[in-house]
Amino acid sequence: MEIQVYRNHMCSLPLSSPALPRPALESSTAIVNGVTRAPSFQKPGLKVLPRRTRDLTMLSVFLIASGLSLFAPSALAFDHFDIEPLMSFILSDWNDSGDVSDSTISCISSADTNSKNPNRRDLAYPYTIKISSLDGSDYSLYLNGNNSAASNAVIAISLSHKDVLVPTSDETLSHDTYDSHTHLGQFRECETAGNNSQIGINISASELETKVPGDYIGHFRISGIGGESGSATDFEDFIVTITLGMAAPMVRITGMDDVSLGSFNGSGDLVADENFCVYASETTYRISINSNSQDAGGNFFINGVTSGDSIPVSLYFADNGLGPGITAVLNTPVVGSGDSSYEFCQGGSNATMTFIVQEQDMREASTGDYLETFTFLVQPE
Amino acid sequence: MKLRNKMVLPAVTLLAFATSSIAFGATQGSLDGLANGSTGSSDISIEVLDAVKITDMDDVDFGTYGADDTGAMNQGDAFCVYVNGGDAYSIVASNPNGSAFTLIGDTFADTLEYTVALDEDADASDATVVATHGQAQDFVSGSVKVDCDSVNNTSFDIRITEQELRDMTTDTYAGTLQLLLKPI
Repeated sequence: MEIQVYRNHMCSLPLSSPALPRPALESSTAIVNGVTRAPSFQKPGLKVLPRRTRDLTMLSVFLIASGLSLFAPSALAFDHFDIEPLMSFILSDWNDSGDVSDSTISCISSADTNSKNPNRRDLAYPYTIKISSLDGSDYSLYLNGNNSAASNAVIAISLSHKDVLVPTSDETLSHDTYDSHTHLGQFRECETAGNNSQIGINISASELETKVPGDYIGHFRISGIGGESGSATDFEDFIVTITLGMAAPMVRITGMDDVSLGSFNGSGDLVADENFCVYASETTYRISINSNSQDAGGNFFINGVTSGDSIPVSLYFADNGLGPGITAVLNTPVVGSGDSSYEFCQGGSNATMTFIVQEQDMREASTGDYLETFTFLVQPE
Repeated sequence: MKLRNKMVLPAVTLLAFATSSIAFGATQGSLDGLANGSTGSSDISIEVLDAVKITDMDDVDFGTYGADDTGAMNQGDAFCVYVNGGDAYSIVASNPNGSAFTLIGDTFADTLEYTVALDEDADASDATVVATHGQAQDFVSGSVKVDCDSVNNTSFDIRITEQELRDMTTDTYAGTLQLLLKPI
């Protein structure tokens, strides 16, 4: 898509205030990669007309002063700004293989001519771009394009932009926000120095790991502003797709705490609940508990730090609740239902292990501290 | 002469508090699949404090000692000593009303001296070591059951020599023997 603005240079009025915000250009050299750079942006309050406009303005003043009449347009200049179509990001299937990154390079031309082969008096002008989602208010891909899907069916992506003809780094873009500095455009189709605009995409593995399998797509629009006037605009739409078709079921256990059953001073059982979070991408999981002191029958003990005594402890599991546990745990895994939407259960817990030590068992234990590490192994069911 | 040895022996439970120095280190699981699973861990700790208890103490009545009686007298009682973990313990035997093991005559307030032997079984009559008033005597192991499973595991034996009895004015004599149980 291209917009060409024919300007009547007989009008000596300066160009209207450009919409381009005019931040600092990313290079200060006069010649950038074979493209003659336009004059620097004017300071606030001091309008500097483009060179050709100035020339024609002076000519007009001269002709008017000479009593000669002119008809318009006597000369035309192209306020050229063009974003060439981008290749869509058709990302390969993701199979739990780390971050996903890709980029594409295209041409963004911004000049005072629409010629692909400018003469030495033609100038390239700065431009700036932004990318917006056509599906929502952030950079996301949606399962089957459903932009009202649950959070585990929405993939957050990161988009960046850089001018590859200038030694600058990627700038991570914010949704619907122009990048923080302008770039020097090229002449039409970038034939002079080659394509200049690189759009990058990155999706973290941690983001992908938590999403349900399927085909995801997002629709985006890159918009720009530039040209000699600094107000010429253009845009192109592109899509991003990725398939999570072969992602393996994933699980994660978090929210684990150490548990102090307290001090036994002679009477009463000691009971403590450990609440934790189990994420399971396919909801169902199995959990098994192990400790070094577990016997062949699956019974658990808490060993004395110095005494060498062991205190039996019973474990009971509660699924999707805050306890107390009700299902006895020995050496056979028990099954639970995890949170398939939130990896960290939104900061809460969805499972409980209750530890119970009987009074008499503590009576039979020598004085001292007792400690045992219990390992919770969660696997997809 | 009539002797009655009345002993009030309070059950004593001693609690000692200590600061635990156990290191903790719960760990969180990472996101993973079937092959490795996701593993978290939790350290479970308990602090067991000293706990002892002496129970099933009974009064001891020697009966009477008269002209027809001869020889020394001894009477005892078996009781239960609970110590957490079946750990070692000590007993301090004393007369809470004096500085020696004595019985006092009701009417004339004469003092009858006796000795005490403690033993780590239910019959102290065969114990060869007598207790020193106010001094701890150590024993190997208490019961891990608060009620000793109804089988008393410790005993005392009070011994009065014949001569001590004959030295006493006719009267009724009574006193208190106190046993203080402590964990070692």
